[in-house]
Amino acid sequence: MAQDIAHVNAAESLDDLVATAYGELRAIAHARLAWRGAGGTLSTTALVHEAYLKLAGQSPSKWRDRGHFFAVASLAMRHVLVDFAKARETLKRGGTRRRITLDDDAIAVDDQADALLQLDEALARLAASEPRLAKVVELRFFGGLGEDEIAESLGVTVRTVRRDWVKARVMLRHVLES
Amino acid sequence: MTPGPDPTDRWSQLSSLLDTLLETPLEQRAQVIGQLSHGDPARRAELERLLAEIDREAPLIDAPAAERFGALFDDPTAAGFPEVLAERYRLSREIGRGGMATVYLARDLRHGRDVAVKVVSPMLASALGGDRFLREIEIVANLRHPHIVPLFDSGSAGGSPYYVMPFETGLSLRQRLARDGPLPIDDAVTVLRDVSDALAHAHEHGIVHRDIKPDNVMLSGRHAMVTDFGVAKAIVAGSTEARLAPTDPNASVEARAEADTAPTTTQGVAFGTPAYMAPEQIVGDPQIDHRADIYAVGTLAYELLAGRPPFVGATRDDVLAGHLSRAPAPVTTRRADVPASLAALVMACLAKDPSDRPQTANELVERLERIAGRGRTERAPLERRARWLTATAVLTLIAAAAFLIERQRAAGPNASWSARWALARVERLTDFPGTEVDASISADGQRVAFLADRDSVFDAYVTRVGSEQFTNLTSGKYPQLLNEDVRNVGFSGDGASTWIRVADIAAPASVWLAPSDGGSFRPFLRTAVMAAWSPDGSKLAYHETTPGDPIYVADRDGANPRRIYVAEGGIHSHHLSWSPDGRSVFFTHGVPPNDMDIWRIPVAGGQAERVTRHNSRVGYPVPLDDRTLLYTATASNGTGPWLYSLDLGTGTTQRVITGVEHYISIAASAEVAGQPRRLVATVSNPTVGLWSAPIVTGVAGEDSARRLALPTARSAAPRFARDGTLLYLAARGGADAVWRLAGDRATEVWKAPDGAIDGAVAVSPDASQLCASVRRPERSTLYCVSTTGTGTRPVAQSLDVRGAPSWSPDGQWIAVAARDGPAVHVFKLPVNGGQPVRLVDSVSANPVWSPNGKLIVYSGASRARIVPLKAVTPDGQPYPIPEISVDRLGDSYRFLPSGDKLVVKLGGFRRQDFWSVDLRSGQRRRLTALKPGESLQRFDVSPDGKQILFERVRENSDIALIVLPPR
Repeated sequence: MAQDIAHVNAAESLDDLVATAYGELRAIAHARLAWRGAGGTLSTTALVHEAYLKLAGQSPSKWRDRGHFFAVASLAMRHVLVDFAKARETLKRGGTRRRITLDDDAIAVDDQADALLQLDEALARLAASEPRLAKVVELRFFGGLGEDEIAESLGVTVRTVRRDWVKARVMLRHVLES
Repeated sequence: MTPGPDPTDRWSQLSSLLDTLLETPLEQRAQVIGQLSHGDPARRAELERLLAEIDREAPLIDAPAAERFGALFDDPTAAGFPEVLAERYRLSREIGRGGMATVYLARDLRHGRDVAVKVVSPMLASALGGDRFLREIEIVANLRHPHIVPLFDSGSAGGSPYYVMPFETGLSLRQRLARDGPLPIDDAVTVLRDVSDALAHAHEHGIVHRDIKPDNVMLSGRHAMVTDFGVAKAIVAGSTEARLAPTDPNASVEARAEADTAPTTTQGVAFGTPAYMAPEQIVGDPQIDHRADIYAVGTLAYELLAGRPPFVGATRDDVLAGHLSRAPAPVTTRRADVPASLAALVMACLAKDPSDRPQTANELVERLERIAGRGRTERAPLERRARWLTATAVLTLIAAAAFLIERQRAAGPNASWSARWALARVERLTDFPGTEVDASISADGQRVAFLADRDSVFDAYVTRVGSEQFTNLTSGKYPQLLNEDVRNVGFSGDGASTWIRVADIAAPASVWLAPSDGGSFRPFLRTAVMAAWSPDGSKLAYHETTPGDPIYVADRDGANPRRIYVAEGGIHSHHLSWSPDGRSVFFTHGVPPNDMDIWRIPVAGGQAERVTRHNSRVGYPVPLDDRTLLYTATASNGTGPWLYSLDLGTGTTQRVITGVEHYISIAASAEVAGQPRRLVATVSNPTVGLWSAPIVTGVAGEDSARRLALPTARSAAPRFARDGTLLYLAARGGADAVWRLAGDRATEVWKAPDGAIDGAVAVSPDASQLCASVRRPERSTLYCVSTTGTGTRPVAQSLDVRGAPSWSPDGQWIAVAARDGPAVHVFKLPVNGGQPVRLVDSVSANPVWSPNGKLIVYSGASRARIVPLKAVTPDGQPYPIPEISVDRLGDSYRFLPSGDKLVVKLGGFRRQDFWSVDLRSGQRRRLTALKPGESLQRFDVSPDGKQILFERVRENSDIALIVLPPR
């Protein structure tokens, strides 16, 4: 079931699909966050699955299969986060940029927007030479997908997904350091 | 990797190299690296680094982005602390943010206290329709109850409703569950009782909480407190109103949010947390009443006991369906040791039909109190409770005794003791709340005396073994009964009289006597600290507090005293105890509290000789026979005190009981042929934690003191670094290590190479280095290390250092006390090597460098536990300061940042408070009014001068009776 999400059927362009998923994810995210209470977190996995149930139920014809949806949703999720981060950065006046590393395990509230943008940019650079590795990171990190779902989405084996993740981690580390 | 000239090249090279390594089986990778590096060591090192990176986690991207970068979802317009509030509250920082509200830590300027200001997010606020929320919140403001976190204030700022509560630094029940898992049964019952008690009060006022869950229960000292009362109701009320007024265009977003997340009915709105919601709440029953809270208490109880709520599921709907239609698994199926009465209560609360549940929260309180089996109000802190004498502890004792037998056989020995230890029986003699210490037993083994703070101050109690009746002999009349370095209470030779040490903290001690069956105390020995009668009752040994603690032997009534020993000034002799043959006296000797050993001196005269070699906190020598000596001592790694046995014939020492409990004292009855031998011990499981108290214009009371929530047990000895991080000592299973708290994250940074950290660390002014005295039995050494724990190095190894060092503000020098000959003196030593310089020629210790660098405050020679403060300039000139005397224990003085005032710890044993003292005028001002009964030890003042962070110790001790069978 190897597929490239750029090859979407004629009825619906990728941009439109991503836009649909984007709107839905934002809405669900807002709704959930409104009720999560102070200090709560959002489960990306639940979010993406909830969006899938909703959108696939509405218009099953648009989506080739679950794997296709997850790929689109992960990209949409990345857009959602990057847009939030950009909006946040424009509100922020000045301030110094701190270089992030993959070893950071907690990012201060005020640094999150900048950190996410750095990561997004590094991922784009990785995609230039290793598109599949970048896609694995996008599905796992932005889409919150499990190894099975990533494998399904990319049409590769779980073993390959694991190996790609390890390799992507090292490459991304070097990209961030360069 | 070495960057190639062309980035594309570089990435493809790295990529193919990684492919090669990943395709090579693990065990062959080293070989492949060898081949690829072609003997070039630099290349080889690079490849090995790469190999290490393959296994390296990437915390930044291991959790999904929306969780890792969760703050991005927050409404950026909610970020501001409302300006209207700035007059009343000074913002410290944001401490939490969620979809519903942003929580700020702020200073209530009018009342000088820290508060949590919760500002409802504008998005939610617009959906809530304003005033209704506040009306609901105001109803709750009238609730006053010891187990309800009060509402200080509420209002509306810039369209956002806000409410103000005390800032709690204790753990929430959620955090406690996350840290420790399911609670011990007793603790769970206590928490549930407190929560039910709070609910009973609220229900009587017609207020239903509607969102009882572990996140809304705070653990504060020995109490559980319910927070966010009425918030759920207010939100529902507000949003219902908004829904009825659809003209508000802003309501639409939120209305949609609700439709997506909360199952609603036409009658009402569901609000709550799925795991804890009652069925009638889920369906939005408008008739919902207080019994929804009783259901929630059932879910809470279930989670406290079983570690998970009754219904869990992959989705919210699964969980809700469980509440609506599935029977919960009996809690005993998830945790077998839940008592039947408690399990029955929990399951009854979880009944689907409200009329099948216990009908009132008061009923819960009553049933829980019956389950707890005690009606008393005082309890040990919930954070950690002394629970030492369990069956396990007894088994440990027996196992340890068996071990001792083996060792003694091997050492060639005293078989009768081995057999008797093996058959020892241990019972708990006291079950008072609070602290019981310093137990003595009469020679005939019939009476036990001890000190306890059951009635808030330490009193002397006597009991007849087996009677369970306790007579308070002192009833608060003698305020300073406890000095932890000496024996404070005991019996006369015939047991008919009980003696106590009577002292004011600043006056010499005297020994007073009263009939053991009750009666008044009368002065007996005017200058003695303690009294010990000889085994035949004909003679008496005692010591004084004058320099060198002279030891005397006198007739049984104190007549004809004869001095048999006096040490050099600064050296103390405590804990006198006769050998069974009456020919010599054992005593502890050295510099208390941590430089002690047991010595022995012949009563007839002669040389004193050292018999133990711990050089630690050694106390209470008890000769069991002519060759076996029991005593308490801390181990060389700083843990304990433990109970040790020394074979005087072979010199073999061993720990007698190997549990986790500390043995603070030990005493024994006389050996009588054919009779059991009775021993009494003070056994404790202390609670040690860091607390903060604000420095305010008035006096900060106990209610403003907060315990720091730290991931470490027994956190102690705080030191602020100027970069805002905190360094402190904590033990995880063994000796103390240095921990560093940066933001909310605590990490262990350094452990002493061997031995124990003495006092506290000192942090360099640039916060990059720390140094600490490390104690060893023979010699103690100062070490420096980076604040991340790297580059450990000894400094000025010629110095046998004592206690906490102090860094000069210019970073060039460290001041520290060190043993120099028999006495301890203050030295300064250059950080970058070079000879130490002795700054003070008289006995001196605990130097603290002022923040302006101009002087070093230190403590002079102690009398009893009191030390005078003195000061010296960095070049050794005396510097006059007002007269201040402080307790020797722990830190007793630190500078305020300005450098012209000290914060000192004043007051008697366990009745201490912090004061500020102006070093020019001598003017004093009381800073705190803390509750007595706990000992304040090491402390520090924050770099902004706004808070005192202190180590608070509660002994949680009990008296145990150990009965050895007849010989």
